[in-house]
Amino acid sequence: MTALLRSRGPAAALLTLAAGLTGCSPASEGEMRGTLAGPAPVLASATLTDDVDPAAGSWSTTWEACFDPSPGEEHLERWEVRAVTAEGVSPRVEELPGRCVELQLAQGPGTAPADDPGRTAALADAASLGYQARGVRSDGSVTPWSEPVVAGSVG
Amino acid sequence: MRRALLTGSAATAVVVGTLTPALAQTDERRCSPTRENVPVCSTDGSVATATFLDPTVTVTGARHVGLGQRGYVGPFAELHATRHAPISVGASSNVQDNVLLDARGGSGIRVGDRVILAHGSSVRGSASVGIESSPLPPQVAGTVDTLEGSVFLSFGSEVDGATVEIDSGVSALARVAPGVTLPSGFLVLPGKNVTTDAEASDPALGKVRYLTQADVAFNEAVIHVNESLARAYTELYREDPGAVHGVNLDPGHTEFNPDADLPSFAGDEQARPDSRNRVIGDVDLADTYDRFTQRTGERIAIRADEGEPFVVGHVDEMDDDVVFHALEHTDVHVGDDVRYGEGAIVHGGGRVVVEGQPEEQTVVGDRVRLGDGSVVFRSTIGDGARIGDRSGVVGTDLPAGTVVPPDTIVLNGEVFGAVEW
Repeated sequence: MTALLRSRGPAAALLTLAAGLTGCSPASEGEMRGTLAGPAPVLASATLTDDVDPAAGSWSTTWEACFDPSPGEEHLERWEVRAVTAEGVSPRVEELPGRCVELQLAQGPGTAPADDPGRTAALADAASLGYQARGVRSDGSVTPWSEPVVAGSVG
Repeated sequence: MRRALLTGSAATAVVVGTLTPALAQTDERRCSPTRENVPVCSTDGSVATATFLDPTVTVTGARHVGLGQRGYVGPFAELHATRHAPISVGASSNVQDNVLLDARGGSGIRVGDRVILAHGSSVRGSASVGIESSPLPPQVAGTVDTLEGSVFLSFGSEVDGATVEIDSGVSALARVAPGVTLPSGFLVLPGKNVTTDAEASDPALGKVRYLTQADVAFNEAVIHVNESLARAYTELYREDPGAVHGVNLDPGHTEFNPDADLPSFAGDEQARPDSRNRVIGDVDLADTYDRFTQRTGERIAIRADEGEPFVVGHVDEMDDDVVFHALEHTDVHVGDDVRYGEGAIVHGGGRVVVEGQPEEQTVVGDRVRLGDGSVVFRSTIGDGARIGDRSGVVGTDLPAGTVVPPDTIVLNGEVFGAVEW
């Protein structure tokens, strides 16, 4: 089980990413439910946020990507994601607690993340990772996968 | 040339120095890649747990090499062990194309479970990767769930007589020098040469950064992908042993690439199992097979085993040990008259900025010169550009005619720093 968490703590707090997903399974299990024809979910928003904690002398960069169902699919029961990497698409399907992926992409010491080369490198590395989302209907069937969204992208 | 010429038409991986019968198992979960245990190790193992070694892998001292389950060892990787310098690789680890594990002259190399050795990386001497661990630094411990633990050694990186602990990593073209311990929770920045323990554990010194949740998530996915490849290549071999040689099919049978494809040369799909190089899957080469063979060196791995077309224009010259990897959703296009230096790595990877906008593919233009050991990843290289020896260009649009000096790291369009070693 990887760690993607919808909820956020106080603005200055570091992201806690320990128990976000409620389950994971090989994709083949997910595919067995059958994919119905129809539109895939779409990206609703993607944001990148730097949180600075002056007291701790540290900063953290968090990326959040939220998906919307396509028209006619507003009553999805839950959401699933899978990782798309520079090495291929993970066969693991993971359940999202909501419809958003939230992920810590960078962190470092000090209070000026923009000046930290570690942030530049971490964001470049994170861009090797992306996510696709799909919805699960009440009858257990699933929507097609969304287009992949690269970690760190905004819009 | 880094290595001696190999011919790739043998029925199994090239195994040197194992004329005596194999001592196949160091324990019940480790397999020695002796003659009877390649390319599937162990040869009679379950598809679900077997480790697959591409037939072009070179192993010396195979009796002193132990491989864990569910591993994938890619084309032209080399593992050199001796009785006094054994090599062990843990379960669910992968040793990708043109990786070198050379324990000779040291006391051995130990690679733990869930370690990713990416294209062109190397581990030398007395070294351990992903075996030891130390408490995570507080900033990481409080924010990152490391799950089952993992390590990532990126393209062209090197661990030389050093210790790289669990939950750490080494970025592209970076190095951990002899005697140094890279502790849990830290990643070496691209191109940096970490020569002291202080540099390895203090981001303020400019050589390392903290591990993040994204690093862990990336590693998880890559490990699962390579487990799938081990299973798929094992199945392909058992269905058709000739299909894992030379120019040939990708295995298909994975969730991300269900169909097996052949490469095409000048529009003609063909299998060439006797080829000295590995060209796998849906690769569309402009050259005829004969011209491609004339223009290319040895130990070249062009691996499109994840589904998308990979277009390569007429090759001007391709030196030894070149690696291409094409990916689903992130196909790669390379122009005409490109010159590829020894050990150059061209790796796809999309740069989607916003859904609905065109994905920025990895594109290498016409007449580009890629230096020896250079890395191009998720980038667009304009016509006539020159990438210096051992330089890395990542996530960048490089205008036509640009010259990147040797030993230079370019990240997201900016010069990040030098390759320090």
